[in-house]
Amino acid sequence: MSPAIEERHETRDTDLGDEELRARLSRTWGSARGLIGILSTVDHKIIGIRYAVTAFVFLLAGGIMAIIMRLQLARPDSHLVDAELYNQLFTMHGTTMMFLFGVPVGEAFAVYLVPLMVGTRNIAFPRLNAFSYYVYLFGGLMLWGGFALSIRPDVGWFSYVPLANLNFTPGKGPDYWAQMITFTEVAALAVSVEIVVTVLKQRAPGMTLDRIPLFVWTMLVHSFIIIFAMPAIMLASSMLIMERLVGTQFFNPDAGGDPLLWQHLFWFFGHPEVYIIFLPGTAFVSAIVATFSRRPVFGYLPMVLSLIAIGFLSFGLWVHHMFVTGLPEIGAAFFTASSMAIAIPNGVQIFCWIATLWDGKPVLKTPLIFVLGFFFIFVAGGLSGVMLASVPIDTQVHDTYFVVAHFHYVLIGGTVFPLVAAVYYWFPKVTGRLMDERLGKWQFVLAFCGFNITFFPMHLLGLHGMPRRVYTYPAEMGWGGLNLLASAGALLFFASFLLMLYNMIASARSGALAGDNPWGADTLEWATSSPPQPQNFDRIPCVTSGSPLWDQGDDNVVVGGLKVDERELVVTSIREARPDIREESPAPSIWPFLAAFATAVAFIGSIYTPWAITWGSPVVAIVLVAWFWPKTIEENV
Amino acid sequence: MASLTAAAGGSALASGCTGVQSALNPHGERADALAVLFWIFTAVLGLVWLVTMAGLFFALTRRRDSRGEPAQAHPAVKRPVRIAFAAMLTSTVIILSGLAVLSFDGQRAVFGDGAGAAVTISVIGHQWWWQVRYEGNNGFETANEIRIPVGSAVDIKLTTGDVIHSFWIPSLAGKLDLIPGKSNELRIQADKPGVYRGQCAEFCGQQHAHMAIFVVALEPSEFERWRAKQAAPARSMAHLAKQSVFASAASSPFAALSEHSQ
Repeated sequence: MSPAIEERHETRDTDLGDEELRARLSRTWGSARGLIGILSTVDHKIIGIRYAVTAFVFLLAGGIMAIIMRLQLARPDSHLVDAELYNQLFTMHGTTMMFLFGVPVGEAFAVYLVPLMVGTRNIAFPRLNAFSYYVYLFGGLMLWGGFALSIRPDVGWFSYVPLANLNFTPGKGPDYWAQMITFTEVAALAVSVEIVVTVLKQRAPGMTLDRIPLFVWTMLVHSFIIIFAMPAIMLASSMLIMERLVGTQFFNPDAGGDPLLWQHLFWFFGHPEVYIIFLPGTAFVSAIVATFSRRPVFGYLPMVLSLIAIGFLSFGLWVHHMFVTGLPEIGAAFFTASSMAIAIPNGVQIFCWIATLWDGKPVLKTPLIFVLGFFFIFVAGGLSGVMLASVPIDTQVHDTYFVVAHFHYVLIGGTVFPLVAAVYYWFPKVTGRLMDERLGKWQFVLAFCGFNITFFPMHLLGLHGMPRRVYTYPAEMGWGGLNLLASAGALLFFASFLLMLYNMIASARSGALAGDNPWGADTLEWATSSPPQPQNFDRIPCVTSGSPLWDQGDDNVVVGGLKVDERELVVTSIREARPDIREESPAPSIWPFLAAFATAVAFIGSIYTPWAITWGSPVVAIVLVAWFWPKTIEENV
Repeated sequence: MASLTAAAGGSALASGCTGVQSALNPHGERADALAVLFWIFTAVLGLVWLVTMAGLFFALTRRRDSRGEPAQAHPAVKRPVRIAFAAMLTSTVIILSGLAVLSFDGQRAVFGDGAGAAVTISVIGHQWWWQVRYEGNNGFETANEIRIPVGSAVDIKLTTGDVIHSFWIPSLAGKLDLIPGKSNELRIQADKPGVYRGQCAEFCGQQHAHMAIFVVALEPSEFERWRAKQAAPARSMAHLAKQSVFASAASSPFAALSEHSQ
C-alpha cells in the first residue's frame, strides 16, 4: 500500500505518455459529481461559465425592464405603467445592467480565458474565485428577490441623496440596492486580485511582459481599475446604509454633511466603472481583430501604453458627471481637459485596430462583423462623449436623452457588440461546437439596425428638451414620433438577443464540431482541446513569441517535472516569466460556498439591524477558519 | 398688444413643433452661444467620425495581392501604415486641443459675470413644484411661472426645500442644480417675448416627469405694469402659492400656458 502511494506521488509528467498523462491529470484536476461536488468546484472554467450564464440571465432581465419602459414611452401620456412602477423599472434596469451584467460579464471572460491564455492550470486563489461567484449570485438574487417581494428601489442607479434618504424614500428599497452593491463589489474585488496574481505569477515560462496577449494586458489593467475604484463605492454604499439605518448625517447639510459628498464618492467610482465595463470589450476586439486579420495587432507597445493611460486617466474624469452642480468654473474646466484627454489613448487603440485590418486579410466571419459594428457605434459614442466633456455643452444636454443615447452608444457599442462577437468567437472553445454563421449574420442585421433605430433618435430627443427618467410626457411636446421610433427599434434589438439565445442552444446541441483551433488563432487557449480538459494543458507550454500558435509551429516546447497526482502549477517571475517554483493549487472545497452563504446572511440581516454585523461576524469567522484549516494532502483516491 | 403676441407665440410653440423646450431653438444670448458651440462640435466631430469610418472602409476593401500572398503572421509593417497612424494621432491631439479651447471660451461666455442683473428672482424647488419669489421691498411670490422683462439679464437664485432638482429652460440657458445647503445662481435673458417651457432635469422622486416651469418674457413696460400689480396684493396671495397665478391667468397672456400646464 504505502510504496504504491509513495510511487504515485513521485510520478511526474515527464514519466508518462500522452494518453495516460491526460487521463491521470484529468482525474487529479477534475470536479466531483453530486450536489456537494457541484458546489465545491474550484475549476476556473466551470466558475467562468457560471458567471457568464448568470450575467446573461440578468442581461435578459434588464432587457425586459427596458422593453417595458420603451412600451410606456412609445406614446405620450401613456398609462401602461404608472410613475411608481416606471421609477422602479429604470432603477432596476440601470442597476442590473451596470452591477449584475456589465461588471460580472467581463469577469466571466477573464476568469475563463486568462488562465488558458497565460498557459496555466487554474486561476490563482481558486477557492476565492468560487466564493466570489456565490457572493455575486446571492447579491443578484437578493436584489431580484426583493423586487419580486415588492421591496423595490426606485431612486435610480446612482441613488442621489437626499432623495435616497429615509425621509424621502421610506421602505427598504434603497437599502437592498446599497447592499447589492456591497455584494457585487466584494465579488469584483476578489476576482480582480485573482486575475492580477494569475497574470503576474502564473504565466507560462517564456511569456515575458512583451509577449502577454493584449487580451490579458487589458484584463490586468481592468483588474487594477477595479481594485482602486471599488473601495470608493463600497464606502459610499455603506455610508448610505448607515445614514438610513442608524441616522448618521454624512450627507445632511443641516448637520454639517454635504449631499455632494455622495456624488463625489459615487462618481469617483462611477467613471472608472465605465472603463471597468468597457475594457473587456476592447480585450475581445484585440483578440478578434488579430485572429481574423491573420496579423498580430499593429503597435503592441502603443496599445499597452494606451491601456495603462486609460487606467490612470479614468480616475481623473469623475467631475464631468457633476458639471451642473455649480462647482467652481476653473475646477470644472480642468475636468473638461482631462475628459478630452482620455479620447487620445482610445483613439490610439482604434487606429491600431484599423491599421491591423488594413495590413492583414480580414475574414468576415460573425465575430469580426460584430467588431465592425463596434467601430461604427463606439466611435460615434466616444465623439458624443467629447461633447459632454465640454462644460457649456453639458449644461444643455446633461440629464437628458442625449446622455442616454451617448452612454448606450458607448456601453452597448463598446461592450455588448464586442461581447456578442466574443460569444461567437469563444463558444467553440467552451462547448466544442461552432455557432451558426447564417443566424449570426441575421443577428447582426437585427442588432445593428435595432440598436441605431433605438438610440440615435434619443440624441435628438435630448436636444429637444426631453429629460431622463420621466415616466411620461405631454403630447404637445412633440416627442411622440421619435419615441415611437425608438421603441420600435428596441423590439428589434431585443429580438436579436433572443435569436442569439436560440443559436447558442441549438449550436451547443448540434453545431459543427470545432476542433482545437477553428479560427486559426494565435493565443494559447487554442492550443488545448475544445472544451479544455480540467487540467487545461497536459504539458505546460513554453512560449517564445507573442503569437505562439503562429510562430512556434510544431516545435512543441513544454515544461516538464510537475507532479501528476497532485494539483501543481508553475509559478514564474513577474517580468521574464522564468520558472521559479512548483506550487500546489487548492483542491475543491465546500467552504467557499458556505462562507458566501454566511456572508450573505450577515449582509442581508444588516439591512434590518446593525446587530446582524455583530452576530454575523463570528459565524463568518468560524466558516473562514474551517476554510483555511491546514490539512494534510487527501489520499483517498 | 404685447400680451397678445406673447399668447400667440406661446400657443404656436405649444402646438406640436419640437421647439417648445429645445436647446436648438435658442431665444437668449446664452442659449444662442451654447447652440453655436454645439453645432461647431457636431460638425467637427461628425467629420472625425466620417474620416474614421472611411479609413475602416478603406482598410477592409483595399485591393490585396490576390496571387496568394501567404497569410504571413509578421510582415514588415509598411511605411504608409506608420505614417497614417502618426498623422491620425497628431490630428486627434490637435482637434481635441482646439475643441477644449473653444469649450473654455464658451464657458467664459456662458458663465462670465456681466453687469448687474435688472431683476433677481429666487426659485425654490419642491417635490414637485417651483416656488418663485421676487425679491425687494415689494416682494411677492408665484409658482411654476416666472415672468421676466425681455432684453434684460435676470439672475435666478436656486435653492431647494427638499431634494436635488435641476432648473432648465433650454431656449434660454443651460441647466443648474438646486442642492440642499447650497445656493446656485443662473443668469437668463430672453431676446423676444414669448413663453419658454422648462422642466426639472434631475430625478427628484415620483412625479419628476410633471415638474414643469414656464418663463414668460414680457416687454419691459408690460413687465413693470405686471410687477406693480402683483406687488400690491402679494402679501395676501403669497400663501396661496400655486392657485394664485392660475386664478389671475384668465385675463392675462397665460391663457395658453395654463392650458397645457394642467
